[in-house]
Amino acid sequence: MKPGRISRAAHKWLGLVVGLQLLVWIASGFYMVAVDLDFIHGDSLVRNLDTVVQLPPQTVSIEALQRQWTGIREIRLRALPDDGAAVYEIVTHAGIELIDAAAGRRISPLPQPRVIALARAYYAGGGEPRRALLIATEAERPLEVQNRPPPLWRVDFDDWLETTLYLSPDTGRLVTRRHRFWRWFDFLWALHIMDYRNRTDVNNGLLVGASILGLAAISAGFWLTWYSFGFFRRRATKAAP
Amino acid sequence: MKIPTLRALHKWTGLIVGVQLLLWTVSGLVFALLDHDRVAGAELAAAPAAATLGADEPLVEPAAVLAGYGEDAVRELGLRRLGGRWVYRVAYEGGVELRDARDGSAFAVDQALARGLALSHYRGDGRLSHIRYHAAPTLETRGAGASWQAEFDDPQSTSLYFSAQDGALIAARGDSWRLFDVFWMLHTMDYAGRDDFNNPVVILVAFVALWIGLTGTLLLIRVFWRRPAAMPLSEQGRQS
Repeated sequence: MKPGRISRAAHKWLGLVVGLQLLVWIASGFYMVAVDLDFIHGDSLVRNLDTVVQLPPQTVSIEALQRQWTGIREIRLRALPDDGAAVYEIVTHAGIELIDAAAGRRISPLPQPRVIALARAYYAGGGEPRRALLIATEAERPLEVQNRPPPLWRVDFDDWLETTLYLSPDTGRLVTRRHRFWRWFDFLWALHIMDYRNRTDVNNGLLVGASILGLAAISAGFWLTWYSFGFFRRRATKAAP
Repeated sequence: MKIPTLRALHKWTGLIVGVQLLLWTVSGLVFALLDHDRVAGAELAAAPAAATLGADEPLVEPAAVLAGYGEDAVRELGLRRLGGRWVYRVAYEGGVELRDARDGSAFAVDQALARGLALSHYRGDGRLSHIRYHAAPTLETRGAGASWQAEFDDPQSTSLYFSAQDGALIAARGDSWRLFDVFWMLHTMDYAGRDDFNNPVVILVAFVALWIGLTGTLLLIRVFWRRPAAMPLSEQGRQS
Protein backbone atom coordinates (compact mmCIF):
# COMPACT_ATOMS: atom_id res chain seq x y z
CA MET A 1 0.00 0.00 0.00
CA LYS A 2 1.14 3.54 -0.73
CA PRO A 3 2.08 5.72 2.26
CA GLY A 4 -0.72 8.15 1.39
CA ARG A 5 -3.29 5.39 1.71
CA ILE A 6 -1.71 4.01 4.88
CA SER A 7 -1.82 7.44 6.54
CA ARG A 8 -5.44 7.90 5.49
CA ALA A 9 -6.42 4.50 6.87
CA ALA A 10 -4.49 5.13 10.11
CA HIS A 11 -6.09 8.54 10.63
CA LYS A 12 -9.55 7.16 9.86
CA TRP A 13 -9.37 4.12 12.14
CA LEU A 14 -7.60 5.89 15.01
CA GLY A 15 -10.21 8.60 14.61
CA LEU A 16 -12.91 6.00 14.98
CA VAL A 17 -11.32 4.79 18.24
CA VAL A 18 -10.62 8.13 20.00
CA GLY A 19 -12.43 10.64 17.81
CA LEU A 20 -15.27 11.09 20.25
CA GLN A 21 -12.89 11.72 23.16
CA LEU A 22 -10.92 14.21 21.03
CA LEU A 23 -14.17 16.07 20.40
CA VAL A 24 -14.98 15.93 24.14
CA TRP A 25 -11.53 17.35 24.95
CA ILE A 26 -11.92 20.19 22.48
CA ALA A 27 -15.51 21.03 23.44
CA SER A 28 -14.90 20.91 27.22
CA GLY A 29 -11.65 22.84 26.76
CA PHE A 30 -13.47 25.45 24.72
CA TYR A 31 -15.98 25.98 27.54
CA MET A 32 -13.15 26.35 30.07
CA VAL A 33 -11.26 28.96 28.05
CA ALA A 34 -14.34 30.84 26.83
CA VAL A 35 -16.03 31.35 30.23
CA ASP A 36 -14.22 33.74 32.57
CA LEU A 37 -12.57 31.85 35.44
CA ASP A 38 -13.35 34.52 38.07
CA PHE A 39 -17.01 34.18 37.15
CA ILE A 40 -16.76 30.40 37.45
CA HIS A 41 -15.22 30.88 40.91
CA GLY A 42 -18.28 32.94 41.82
CA ASP A 43 -16.40 36.14 42.65
CA SER A 44 -19.33 38.22 41.41
CA LEU A 45 -21.81 36.37 43.65
CA VAL A 46 -20.39 37.35 47.02
CA ARG A 47 -19.51 40.41 49.07
CA ASN A 48 -18.53 41.34 52.65
CA LEU A 49 -15.68 38.85 52.74
CA ASP A 50 -13.59 41.25 54.84
CA THR A 51 -15.55 42.92 57.60
CA VAL A 52 -13.89 45.70 59.59
CA VAL A 53 -13.14 44.76 63.20
CA GLN A 54 -14.70 47.23 65.67
CA LEU A 55 -13.86 46.29 69.23
CA PRO A 56 -16.78 46.52 71.69
CA PRO A 57 -16.20 48.80 74.72
CA GLN A 58 -15.62 45.76 76.86
CA THR A 59 -13.75 43.12 74.96
CA VAL A 60 -12.87 39.76 76.44
CA SER A 61 -9.12 39.83 76.94
CA ILE A 62 -6.63 37.44 75.41
CA GLU A 63 -5.44 36.85 78.95
CA ALA A 64 -8.89 35.56 79.95
CA LEU A 65 -8.98 33.23 76.95
CA GLN A 66 -5.52 31.93 77.83
CA ARG A 67 -6.75 31.04 81.31
CA GLN A 68 -10.04 29.48 80.17
CA TRP A 69 -8.79 27.34 77.32
CA THR A 70 -6.08 24.74 77.11
CA GLY A 71 -4.26 23.64 73.99
CA ILE A 72 -4.70 26.89 72.05
CA ARG A 73 -2.83 26.87 68.76
CA GLU A 74 -4.16 30.03 67.26
CA ILE A 75 -6.63 32.82 68.09
CA ARG A 76 -8.20 35.00 65.41
CA LEU A 77 -10.12 38.17 66.09
CA ARG A 78 -12.53 39.12 63.33
CA ALA A 79 -16.08 40.41 62.75
CA LEU A 80 -19.13 38.61 61.41
CA PRO A 81 -20.66 40.42 58.43
CA ASP A 82 -24.37 40.21 59.39
CA ASP A 83 -24.31 42.33 62.56
CA GLY A 84 -20.65 43.34 62.57
CA ALA A 85 -20.07 41.67 65.96
CA ALA A 86 -16.46 41.05 66.88
CA VAL A 87 -15.67 37.37 67.52
CA TYR A 88 -12.74 35.27 68.58
CA GLU A 89 -12.00 32.08 66.68
CA ILE A 90 -10.13 29.75 68.96
CA VAL A 91 -8.17 26.97 67.28
CA THR A 92 -7.22 24.01 69.45
CA HIS A 93 -6.20 20.44 68.65
CA ALA A 94 -9.90 19.54 68.99
CA GLY A 95 -11.15 22.00 66.36
CA ILE A 96 -12.37 25.58 66.18
CA GLU A 97 -14.76 27.41 68.53
CA LEU A 98 -16.34 30.80 68.05
CA ILE A 99 -16.57 33.21 71.01
CA ASP A 100 -18.53 36.44 71.19
CA ALA A 101 -15.77 38.97 71.89
CA ALA A 102 -18.09 41.21 73.97
CA ALA A 103 -19.96 38.68 76.11
CA GLY A 104 -17.37 35.92 76.12
CA ARG A 105 -20.08 33.35 75.30
CA ARG A 106 -19.42 30.45 73.01
CA ILE A 107 -21.66 30.88 69.94
CA SER A 108 -20.55 27.92 67.84
CA PRO A 109 -21.91 25.78 66.35
CA LEU A 110 -24.00 28.56 64.82
CA PRO A 111 -27.74 27.76 64.62
CA GLN A 112 -29.64 27.73 61.34
CA PRO A 113 -31.19 31.24 61.59
CA ARG A 114 -27.77 32.79 62.20
CA VAL A 115 -26.26 30.83 59.30
CA ILE A 116 -29.03 32.09 56.99
CA ALA A 117 -28.45 35.67 58.18
CA LEU A 118 -24.73 35.30 57.44
CA ALA A 119 -25.44 33.75 54.04
CA ARG A 120 -27.62 36.76 53.19
CA ALA A 121 -24.79 39.07 54.24
CA TYR A 122 -22.29 37.27 51.99
CA TYR A 123 -24.68 36.92 49.05
CA ALA A 124 -24.47 39.62 46.36
CA GLY A 125 -27.20 38.29 44.03
CA GLY A 126 -30.89 39.11 43.77
CA GLY A 127 -32.39 35.84 45.05
CA GLU A 128 -33.59 34.62 48.43
CA PRO A 129 -32.41 31.66 50.51
CA ARG A 130 -34.55 28.68 49.54
CA ARG A 131 -33.32 26.14 52.05
CA ALA A 132 -30.46 25.51 54.46
CA LEU A 133 -29.10 22.06 55.22
CA LEU A 134 -26.47 20.98 57.71
CA ILE A 135 -23.86 18.58 56.32
CA ALA A 136 -22.53 16.95 59.46
CA THR A 137 -20.43 14.08 58.11
CA GLU A 138 -18.33 13.24 55.07
CA ALA A 139 -20.94 10.68 54.01
CA GLU A 140 -23.57 13.42 53.61
CA ARG A 141 -21.23 15.72 51.74
CA PRO A 142 -21.98 16.41 48.06
CA LEU A 143 -19.24 15.88 45.46
CA GLU A 144 -19.00 19.61 44.78
CA VAL A 145 -17.41 20.21 48.21
CA GLN A 146 -15.51 16.93 48.42
CA ASN A 147 -12.26 18.53 49.61
CA ARG A 148 -13.87 20.70 52.34
CA PRO A 149 -13.99 19.25 55.83
CA PRO A 150 -17.46 18.99 57.43
CA PRO A 151 -19.45 20.29 59.26
CA LEU A 152 -20.81 22.66 56.62
CA TRP A 153 -24.06 24.50 56.11
CA ARG A 154 -25.39 24.41 52.60
CA VAL A 155 -27.58 27.44 51.78
CA ASP A 156 -29.37 27.32 48.40
CA PHE A 157 -30.67 30.49 46.78
CA ASP A 158 -33.62 30.70 44.37
CA ASP A 159 -31.78 32.70 41.66
CA TRP A 160 -31.41 31.47 38.08
CA LEU A 161 -27.71 30.74 38.68
CA GLU A 162 -28.77 28.17 41.31
CA THR A 163 -26.29 29.70 43.74
CA THR A 164 -25.26 27.67 46.75
CA LEU A 165 -23.18 29.14 49.57
CA TYR A 166 -21.36 26.82 51.97
CA LEU A 167 -20.67 28.19 55.45
CA SER A 168 -18.87 26.78 58.44
CA PRO A 169 -20.97 26.52 61.64
CA ASP A 170 -17.70 26.66 63.63
CA THR A 171 -16.47 29.96 62.24
CA GLY A 172 -19.33 31.58 60.32
CA ARG A 173 -16.97 31.97 57.37
CA LEU A 174 -18.00 31.53 53.78
CA VAL A 175 -16.20 28.31 52.88
CA THR A 176 -17.02 28.28 49.19
CA ARG A 177 -19.73 29.02 46.61
CA ARG A 178 -21.15 27.03 43.73
CA HIS A 179 -23.48 27.88 40.88
CA ARG A 180 -24.86 26.53 37.59
CA PHE A 181 -21.80 27.44 35.50
CA TRP A 182 -19.35 26.16 38.10
CA ARG A 183 -21.23 22.83 38.08
CA TRP A 184 -21.06 22.73 34.29
CA PHE A 185 -17.33 23.46 34.46
CA ASP A 186 -16.84 20.66 36.98
CA PHE A 187 -18.84 18.18 34.89
CA LEU A 188 -16.82 19.08 31.78
CA TRP A 189 -13.63 18.83 33.85
CA ALA A 190 -14.60 15.25 34.72
CA LEU A 191 -15.01 14.52 31.00
CA HIS A 192 -11.74 16.33 30.23
CA ILE A 193 -9.61 14.32 32.70
CA MET A 194 -11.73 11.16 32.25
CA ASP A 195 -12.18 10.61 35.99
CA TYR A 196 -15.94 10.20 36.00
CA ARG A 197 -16.32 9.24 39.64
CA ASN A 198 -14.26 11.65 41.75
CA ARG A 199 -13.32 14.22 39.10
CA THR A 200 -9.89 14.76 40.69
CA ASP A 201 -7.48 12.01 39.54
CA VAL A 202 -5.46 13.33 36.59
CA ASN A 203 -3.13 10.32 36.71
CA ASN A 204 -5.64 7.65 35.70
CA GLY A 205 -4.80 4.93 33.17
CA LEU A 206 -7.78 5.68 30.96
CA LEU A 207 -6.53 9.23 30.43
CA VAL A 208 -3.00 8.02 29.65
CA GLY A 209 -4.30 5.48 27.14
CA ALA A 210 -6.69 7.90 25.44
CA SER A 211 -3.95 10.57 25.27
CA ILE A 212 -1.57 8.17 23.54
CA LEU A 213 -4.25 7.12 21.03
CA GLY A 214 -5.23 10.77 20.52
CA LEU A 215 -1.61 11.65 19.88
CA ALA A 216 -1.36 8.82 17.34
CA ALA A 217 -4.57 9.91 15.59
CA ILE A 218 -3.40 13.52 15.31
CA SER A 219 0.09 12.47 14.18
CA ALA A 220 -1.47 10.31 11.46
CA GLY A 221 -3.52 13.37 10.50
CA PHE A 222 -0.33 15.37 10.10
CA TRP A 223 1.16 12.62 7.99
CA LEU A 224 -1.99 12.54 5.89
CA THR A 225 -1.91 16.33 5.46
CA TRP A 226 1.31 15.90 3.54
CA TYR A 227 -0.46 13.76 0.91
CA SER A 228 -3.91 15.36 0.96
CA PHE A 229 -2.43 18.72 0.00
CA GLY A 230 -0.70 16.93 -2.86
CA PHE A 231 2.92 17.86 -2.13
CA PHE A 232 4.12 14.52 -3.54
CA ARG A 233 1.71 14.51 -6.42
CA ARG A 234 2.91 17.86 -7.69
CA ARG A 235 6.54 16.85 -7.39
CA ALA A 236 5.79 13.63 -9.27
CA THR A 237 4.15 15.49 -12.21
CA LYS A 238 7.10 17.85 -12.45
CA ALA A 239 9.56 14.95 -12.54
CA ALA A 240 7.64 13.25 -15.37
CA PRO A 241 8.97 13.97 -18.86
CA MET B 1 -22.62 18.98 4.16
CA LYS B 2 -21.05 16.81 1.49
CA ILE B 3 -17.98 14.73 2.18
CA PRO B 4 -15.59 16.79 -0.04
CA THR B 5 -16.67 20.03 1.71
CA LEU B 6 -16.24 18.45 5.14
CA ARG B 7 -12.88 17.07 4.09
CA ALA B 8 -11.70 20.47 2.87
CA LEU B 9 -12.82 22.17 6.09
CA HIS B 10 -11.19 19.48 8.22
CA LYS B 11 -7.98 19.63 6.21
CA TRP B 12 -7.60 23.41 6.25
CA THR B 13 -8.54 23.92 9.90
CA GLY B 14 -6.16 21.07 10.68
CA LEU B 15 -3.39 22.83 8.77
CA ILE B 16 -4.02 26.08 10.68
CA VAL B 17 -4.17 24.83 14.29
CA GLY B 18 -2.91 21.26 13.97
CA VAL B 19 0.38 22.03 15.73
CA GLN B 20 -1.47 23.38 18.77
CA LEU B 21 -3.75 20.33 18.76
CA LEU B 22 -0.62 18.18 18.88
CA LEU B 23 0.81 20.32 21.72
CA TRP B 24 -2.44 20.02 23.70
CA THR B 25 -2.35 16.25 23.41
CA VAL B 26 1.37 15.96 24.24
CA SER B 27 1.05 18.27 27.27
CA GLY B 28 -2.13 16.48 28.36
CA LEU B 29 -0.24 13.18 28.23
CA VAL B 30 2.56 14.70 30.32
CA PHE B 31 0.02 15.86 32.96
CA ALA B 32 -1.46 12.36 33.05
CA LEU B 33 1.99 10.78 33.48
CA LEU B 34 3.54 13.18 36.05
CA ASP B 35 2.48 12.20 39.56
CA HIS B 36 0.13 14.92 40.78
CA ASP B 37 1.24 14.86 44.43
CA ARG B 38 4.86 15.20 43.38
CA VAL B 39 4.00 18.12 41.08
CA ALA B 40 2.12 19.81 43.94
CA GLY B 41 5.22 19.40 46.14
CA ALA B 42 3.21 17.58 48.82
CA GLU B 43 6.22 15.58 49.97
CA LEU B 44 8.67 18.50 49.95
CA ALA B 45 7.18 20.59 52.75
CA ALA B 46 4.82 20.33 55.70
CA ALA B 47 3.77 22.61 58.53
CA PRO B 48 5.89 22.08 61.66
CA ALA B 49 4.30 20.52 64.75
CA ALA B 50 1.81 22.92 66.30
CA ALA B 51 2.79 24.70 69.53
CA THR B 52 0.23 25.41 72.23
CA LEU B 53 -0.22 28.72 74.01
CA GLY B 54 0.74 28.66 77.68
CA ALA B 55 -1.67 30.18 80.23
CA ASP B 56 1.06 32.50 81.54
CA GLU B 57 2.55 33.58 78.22
CA PRO B 58 2.81 37.39 78.47
CA LEU B 59 0.87 38.93 75.58
CA VAL B 60 -0.20 42.37 74.41
CA GLU B 61 -3.99 42.76 74.25
CA PRO B 62 -5.61 43.13 70.79
CA ALA B 63 -6.94 46.60 71.66
CA ALA B 64 -3.36 47.85 72.01
CA VAL B 65 -2.40 46.41 68.63
CA LEU B 66 -5.51 47.77 66.90
CA ALA B 67 -4.81 51.23 68.32
CA GLY B 68 -1.85 51.47 65.95
CA TYR B 69 -4.13 51.36 62.92
CA GLY B 70 -6.97 53.51 61.60
CA GLU B 71 -10.46 53.03 63.02
CA ASP B 72 -11.84 51.17 60.01
CA ALA B 73 -8.60 49.60 58.92
CA VAL B 74 -8.23 46.15 60.49
CA ARG B 75 -9.97 43.13 58.94
CA GLU B 76 -8.48 40.38 61.04
CA LEU B 77 -6.01 39.92 63.85
CA GLY B 78 -4.43 36.49 64.24
CA LEU B 79 -2.37 35.29 67.18
CA ARG B 80 -0.11 32.46 66.07
CA ARG B 81 3.27 30.80 66.47
CA LEU B 82 5.90 31.80 63.92
CA GLY B 83 9.57 30.94 63.96
CA GLY B 84 9.62 30.14 67.69
CA ARG B 85 7.61 33.07 69.04
CA TRP B 86 4.02 34.22 69.33
CA VAL B 87 3.06 36.90 66.83
CA TYR B 88 0.04 38.89 65.76
CA ARG B 89 -0.71 38.81 62.05
CA VAL B 90 -2.61 41.98 61.19
CA ALA B 91 -4.66 42.06 57.99
CA TYR B 92 -5.60 45.67 57.31
CA GLU B 93 -6.51 47.87 54.37
CA GLY B 94 -2.83 48.44 53.55
CA GLY B 95 -1.90 44.76 53.44
CA VAL B 96 -0.57 42.34 56.04
CA GLU B 97 1.89 43.00 58.88
CA LEU B 98 3.46 41.02 61.69
CA ARG B 99 3.77 42.23 65.27
CA ASP B 100 5.55 40.62 68.17
CA ALA B 101 2.81 39.43 70.54
CA ARG B 102 4.90 40.16 73.63
CA ASP B 103 5.37 43.88 73.06
CA GLY B 104 3.32 44.73 69.96
CA SER B 105 6.31 45.92 67.94
CA ALA B 106 6.14 45.51 64.17
CA PHE B 107 8.80 43.35 62.56
CA ALA B 108 9.64 42.13 59.08
CA VAL B 109 10.34 38.62 57.88
CA ASP B 110 14.12 38.84 57.60
CA GLN B 111 16.63 36.37 56.25
CA ALA B 112 17.23 34.68 59.60
CA LEU B 113 13.50 34.11 60.15
CA ALA B 114 13.08 32.88 56.57
CA ARG B 115 15.95 30.45 57.11
CA GLY B 116 14.34 29.11 60.29
CA LEU B 117 10.99 28.73 58.53
CA ALA B 118 12.63 26.95 55.60
CA LEU B 119 14.39 24.45 57.87
CA SER B 120 11.28 23.76 59.96
CA HIS B 121 9.03 23.19 56.92
CA TYR B 122 11.39 21.21 54.70
CA ARG B 123 10.70 17.46 54.52
CA GLY B 124 13.35 16.33 52.02
CA ASP B 125 16.89 15.13 52.77
CA GLY B 126 18.90 17.85 51.03
CA ARG B 127 20.75 20.79 52.58
CA LEU B 128 19.72 24.43 52.42
CA SER B 129 22.08 25.92 49.84
CA HIS B 130 20.77 29.45 49.12
CA ILE B 131 18.29 31.86 50.52
CA ARG B 132 17.25 34.88 48.51
CA TYR B 133 14.74 37.69 48.57
CA HIS B 134 12.34 38.54 45.72
CA ALA B 135 10.70 41.95 45.95
CA ALA B 136 8.36 41.15 43.04
CA PRO B 137 6.37 38.00 42.26
CA THR B 138 8.28 35.39 40.25
CA LEU B 139 7.12 32.70 37.84
CA GLU B 140 7.45 30.18 40.68
CA THR B 141 5.36 32.20 43.17
CA ARG B 142 2.90 33.59 40.63
CA GLY B 143 0.78 36.39 42.14
CA ALA B 144 1.95 36.03 45.73
CA GLY B 145 3.90 39.28 46.29
CA ALA B 146 7.32 39.67 47.90
CA SER B 147 8.89 36.39 48.99
CA TRP B 148 11.87 34.56 50.41
CA GLN B 149 13.15 31.64 48.35
CA ALA B 150 14.98 28.81 50.13
CA GLU B 151 16.85 26.49 47.76
CA PHE B 152 17.81 22.94 48.72
CA ASP B 153 20.40 20.73 47.02
CA ASP B 154 18.19 17.62 46.69
CA PRO B 155 17.50 15.74 43.41
CA GLN B 156 14.28 17.75 42.85
CA SER B 157 16.20 21.06 43.33
CA THR B 158 13.48 22.00 45.80
CA SER B 159 12.68 25.63 46.43
CA LEU B 160 10.40 26.65 49.30
CA TYR B 161 8.86 30.09 49.10
CA PHE B 162 7.71 32.08 52.12
CA SER B 163 5.72 35.28 52.09
CA ALA B 164 7.84 38.28 53.04
CA GLN B 165 4.68 39.81 54.53
CA ASP B 166 3.58 37.15 57.01
CA GLY B 167 6.02 34.24 56.69
CA ALA B 168 3.39 31.85 55.30
CA LEU B 169 4.55 29.03 53.05
CA ILE B 170 3.54 30.15 49.55
CA ALA B 171 4.75 27.25 47.47
CA ALA B 172 7.01 24.20 47.36
CA ARG B 173 8.51 23.78 43.90
CA GLY B 174 10.55 20.89 42.55
CA ASP B 175 11.68 19.81 39.09
CA SER B 176 8.43 17.84 38.61
CA TRP B 177 6.49 21.06 39.04
CA ARG B 178 8.88 22.97 36.75
CA LEU B 179 8.46 20.39 33.99
CA PHE B 180 4.69 20.40 34.51
CA ASP B 181 4.63 24.18 34.37
CA VAL B 182 6.36 24.39 30.95
CA PHE B 183 3.74 22.05 29.51
CA TRP B 184 1.04 23.95 31.40
CA MET B 185 2.17 27.08 29.52
CA LEU B 186 1.89 25.20 26.21
CA HIS B 187 -1.56 23.94 27.24
CA THR B 188 -2.98 27.33 28.34
CA MET B 189 -1.15 29.29 25.58
CA ASP B 190 -0.40 32.01 28.16
CA TYR B 191 3.31 32.40 27.41
CA ALA B 192 3.83 35.22 29.93
CA GLY B 193 2.05 34.39 33.18
CA ARG B 194 1.12 30.79 32.22
CA ASP B 195 -2.08 30.72 34.32
CA ASP B 196 -4.52 32.85 32.32
CA PHE B 197 -6.41 30.35 30.19
CA ASN B 198 -9.08 32.93 29.28
CA ASN B 199 -6.68 34.72 26.91
CA PRO B 200 -7.91 35.62 23.40
CA VAL B 201 -5.31 33.48 21.60
CA VAL B 202 -6.38 30.25 23.27
CA ILE B 203 -10.07 31.10 22.81
CA LEU B 204 -9.55 31.68 19.08
CA VAL B 205 -7.45 28.55 18.56
CA ALA B 206 -9.91 26.46 20.61
CA PHE B 207 -12.73 27.80 18.44
CA VAL B 208 -10.97 26.71 15.24
CA ALA B 209 -10.15 23.39 16.91
CA LEU B 210 -13.85 22.95 17.60
CA TRP B 211 -14.38 22.98 13.82
CA ILE B 212 -11.72 20.30 13.36
CA GLY B 213 -13.51 18.18 15.92
CA LEU B 214 -16.99 18.71 14.51
CA THR B 215 -16.02 18.15 10.86
CA GLY B 216 -13.91 15.15 11.89
CA THR B 217 -16.85 13.62 13.74
CA LEU B 218 -19.19 14.19 10.79
CA LEU B 219 -16.61 12.71 8.43
CA LEU B 220 -16.31 9.60 10.59
CA ILE B 221 -20.07 9.17 10.56
CA ARG B 222 -20.25 9.67 6.78
CA VAL B 223 -17.32 7.42 5.99
CA PHE B 224 -18.21 4.51 8.25
CA TRP B 225 -21.98 4.64 8.27
CA ARG B 226 -23.16 5.81 4.88
CA ARG B 227 -20.85 3.86 2.64
CA PRO B 228 -23.13 0.78 2.18
CA ALA B 229 -25.96 3.04 0.94
CA ALA B 230 -23.63 4.71 -1.55
CA MET B 231 -22.48 1.37 -2.90
CA PRO B 232 -23.47 0.66 -6.53
CA LEU B 233 -26.47 -1.64 -6.91
CA SER B 234 -24.44 -4.29 -8.70
CA GLU B 235 -22.03 -4.53 -5.74
CA GLN B 236 -24.88 -4.84 -3.26
CA GLY B 237 -26.35 -7.67 -5.30
CA ARG B 238 -23.03 -9.48 -5.35
CA GLN B 239 -22.71 -9.25 -1.56
CA SER B 240 -26.11 -10.67 -0.67
